[in-house]
Amino acid sequence: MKIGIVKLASCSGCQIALLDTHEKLLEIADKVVYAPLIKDARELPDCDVVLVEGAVRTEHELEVLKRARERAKKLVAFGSCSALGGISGMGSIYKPEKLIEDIYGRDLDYKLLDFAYPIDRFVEVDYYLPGCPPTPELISKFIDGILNGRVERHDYPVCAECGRLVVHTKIDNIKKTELPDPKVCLLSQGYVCLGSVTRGGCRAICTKAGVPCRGCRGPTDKVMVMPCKDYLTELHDRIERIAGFDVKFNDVASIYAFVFTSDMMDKLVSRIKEVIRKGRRGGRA
Amino acid sequence: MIIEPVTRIEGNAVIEVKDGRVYFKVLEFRGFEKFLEGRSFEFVPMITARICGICPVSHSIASARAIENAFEIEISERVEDLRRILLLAQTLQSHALHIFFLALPDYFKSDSFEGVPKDLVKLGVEMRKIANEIVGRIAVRPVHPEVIVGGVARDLDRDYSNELKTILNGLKENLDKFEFLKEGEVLNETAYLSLNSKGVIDFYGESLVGYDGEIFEFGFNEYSEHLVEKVESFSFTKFPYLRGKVCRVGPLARLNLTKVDTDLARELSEEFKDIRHETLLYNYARLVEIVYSIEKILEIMGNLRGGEIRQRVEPKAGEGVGVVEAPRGTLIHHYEFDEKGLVRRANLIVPTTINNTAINEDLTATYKKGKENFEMIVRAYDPCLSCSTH
Amino acid sequence: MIRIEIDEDRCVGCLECVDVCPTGVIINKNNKPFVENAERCIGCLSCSYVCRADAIKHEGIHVEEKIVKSVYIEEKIERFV
Repeated sequence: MKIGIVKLASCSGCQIALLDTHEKLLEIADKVVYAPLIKDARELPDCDVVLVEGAVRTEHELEVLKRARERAKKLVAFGSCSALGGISGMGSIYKPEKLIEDIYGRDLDYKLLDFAYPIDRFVEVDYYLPGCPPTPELISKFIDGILNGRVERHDYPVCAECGRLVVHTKIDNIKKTELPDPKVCLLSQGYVCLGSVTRGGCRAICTKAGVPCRGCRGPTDKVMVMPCKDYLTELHDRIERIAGFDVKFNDVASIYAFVFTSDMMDKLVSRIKEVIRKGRRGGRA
Repeated sequence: MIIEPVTRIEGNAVIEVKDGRVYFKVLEFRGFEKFLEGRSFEFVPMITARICGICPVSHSIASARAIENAFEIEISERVEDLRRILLLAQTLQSHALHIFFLALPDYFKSDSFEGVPKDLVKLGVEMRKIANEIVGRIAVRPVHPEVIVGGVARDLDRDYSNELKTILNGLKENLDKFEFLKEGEVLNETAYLSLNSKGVIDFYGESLVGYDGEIFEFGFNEYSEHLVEKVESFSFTKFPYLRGKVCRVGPLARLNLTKVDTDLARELSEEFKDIRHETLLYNYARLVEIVYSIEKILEIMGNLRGGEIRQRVEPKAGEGVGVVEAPRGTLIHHYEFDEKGLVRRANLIVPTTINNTAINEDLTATYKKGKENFEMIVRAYDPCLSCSTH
Repeated sequence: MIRIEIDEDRCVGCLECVDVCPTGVIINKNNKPFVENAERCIGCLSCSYVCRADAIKHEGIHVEEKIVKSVYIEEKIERFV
C-alpha cells in the first residue's frame, strides 16, 4: 500500500491532524511515499491512495490536482477545503482581480481561478473525508477502513452524539460569547449552533465543551438530499420552534463558512448565491 | 536551477536561481484579509484559526485580543493565564514538530524523520501529545481550536505537571546530543522584532521591542509606523521592512531581544547574550524555547489566578490591534469594526511574512558564497507559507 | 405494516416529530416521543425529516421512493464518510 499526500490551497491542518494520530502515524510512516510536509520527494509516484488537502485556487494547483488523479488508484478529498470548498472557498465571495488588487495593490505573476473550487469540480473523487480538520480518531478509522477495504460512513448529525437535551424556552436575544448551561441544547439557549444540520462522527467535541457547532463537517445526508432544506431555513425554523425567537442573522456568510463553493449546497432556498452576488458587485457580503 | 516543491516546510513554494539572485516563490493564496470584511466578531477567531494548521492558537488569540481592544473589554486574570498556557503549549507542539520531524533529518543526512534516532523521535511525539492534550483541554481541540472573544472555551481542570516533568527530565538527559545545533554562519545582519513584558520574554506580552542597531520599544497601535509592507510580483507573500531594514522575528529574535525567566532555559540562553545573527542558530533557539515553554507552563499551572472564563461582549464601532508571539514570531492582527460588530477592514501581519524578506536575502547570500544548502536555510526559519500568504 | 423505531440514545427531546405528525402516531409521553398507533402512519416521513438527531427509523415502506433525489447527488453522497 502506497499513500501520497498532496496539498493545495489550505492550511496543512489536516496533515497536522494526521500527525496527531501519533502511534498510527509511526505505524503507517513507511507506507507514505509522498508528503512534502514531512518527506523529501519531488515527484508524486503511482499510489494506491492519494489524500488531497485544500481547495483549487490557482492554475498551478489545478495542474497538481490533475497529476494526482492520474497517479492515484483512489483519490480522497481530505478535509473540508477539498471536499466542500471549506474556509478557502470563502475567498470566492469576491472577484479574483478584486482580491489581488485590494490585498496587494498591484498585479502578480500568477493567475487565480474564478472561484476556490472543491476538487470534485475537476476530477472524480472516490472518498470525501470532510472536517476542519477531521479528528485524529476519524482519520485513523478511515485509514484502517481503506486498508481493509471497508470504510464506515457517518450519516447522522452532530446532535446524535452531543448529549444535550432540548428544553422549550422563550428567549429574546441571540447569545454569542457567554458561558452556556452544560446540559441544555445550545439552540434552545439561543446560540447559533449548526449541530443539527452538520455531519457527525466528530463525537460532538465542540458542543460538549460549550462551543456552538460551526458546521465544519458540512451538511448531513438529509440536508444534501432535500432541495428545499438549507442551513439558514433549518436553523431559523428550529430556533423559532423551540426558543420562540425570530432570528435575523446579520452575518450570513459565516454560517455557510465551510460549504461556499460546494454544489451539494446549490439549492433554491440557499442564500450563498445572494452573498456571492453581493460581494462580486462590489458590496460588503 | 529550480527546486520544486521545497520539502519539509509548511506550504507550497519553489526556489529559483536566476541571474545571480535566488527567489523564494510562494505559490498559494486564499485572501483572508479581504473575506474577513463583513464577518461578525464572534466568528472572527474561528475563521482566523483556519489561516494556519500548525499555529492556529496564535491566530485565534491574536484576533480575540484585537477584538477585545477594539470593544474595550477587560479579560480576567484567569483567562490571561490560560491563554498564556495555550500559546506556550502550542509553541511546544510546533517547535517539537519542527525540530524532530523537519529539521533534524538534515543533521542526520536523511530525507525524513525515519532517519532520526528512534528515541529522539519518540521524545518529539511525547511532547506533541502532551501539548495537544493541554490545548485540547482549554480550547476544545489542538488543530483549529476555539478561542472565545472575552475568554476561553473551557477551564483547565486537570493537572498535567507530572507528565510535563517526565518530558522535561527526558529532554535534560538528551540535551548534550544537540550540540550540533549551535553551528552556523552569519549570512546577513538584520533588524529584529519581538513582544516583551518589561524586557522579559512573554508570548502574551504588553509591548513590542525592536532592534535596528539599537533597541527601541513601541505600543501595539504604532506598529504601522515602524513596519512597512512591499509587494513583489513573483510571490504571493509580501515583503515587510522594519524602519527600512530587513527584519527577522521568531525564536532567534525573542532570545536576542528579551531575557528568559525560567531556570534551565536561562542557562541555555546564555548563548544569546549578545545579538546573534547566525541563521541556523534558529534551530538552537527553538530548543531553548521548548525548555522554556515546559518550565513556564509548569510555573503558570502551579498558581493559576482566578476569574470568570467567559463574559458577555457588547460590540461597538472602533479599531483594535492584537499582538501575540506565535511559534514563528510576532503576529499582528488589526481590525476595524462598525457599530453592529461587523469587520469593516482587516490587516494581518504574520511572522513568516516578516521573515520572507530575510529568507530571500539569506538565500542569495548563500548562493554568493557558493553553497547550495538552500532548503536547510529555508527550514531554519520554519516558514509557514499558508500563514504568510493568508 | 409499518414499523417506526425511535433511538432513545440519539433523541434530544425536541418533540418536533410530535408537532409535525399529521395522523398523531407519535405522541408526547413525559417529554419524550412515543410511537402509539403505528398502523395509522401514512408514511409521509415528515418526522424523519424534521428529526435533527436522525433518531427515527421507518421499516416496511420504501423510504427511497419518498425522497426526491437526483442521481448525481445520490452517487456523491455515498462517498462522504
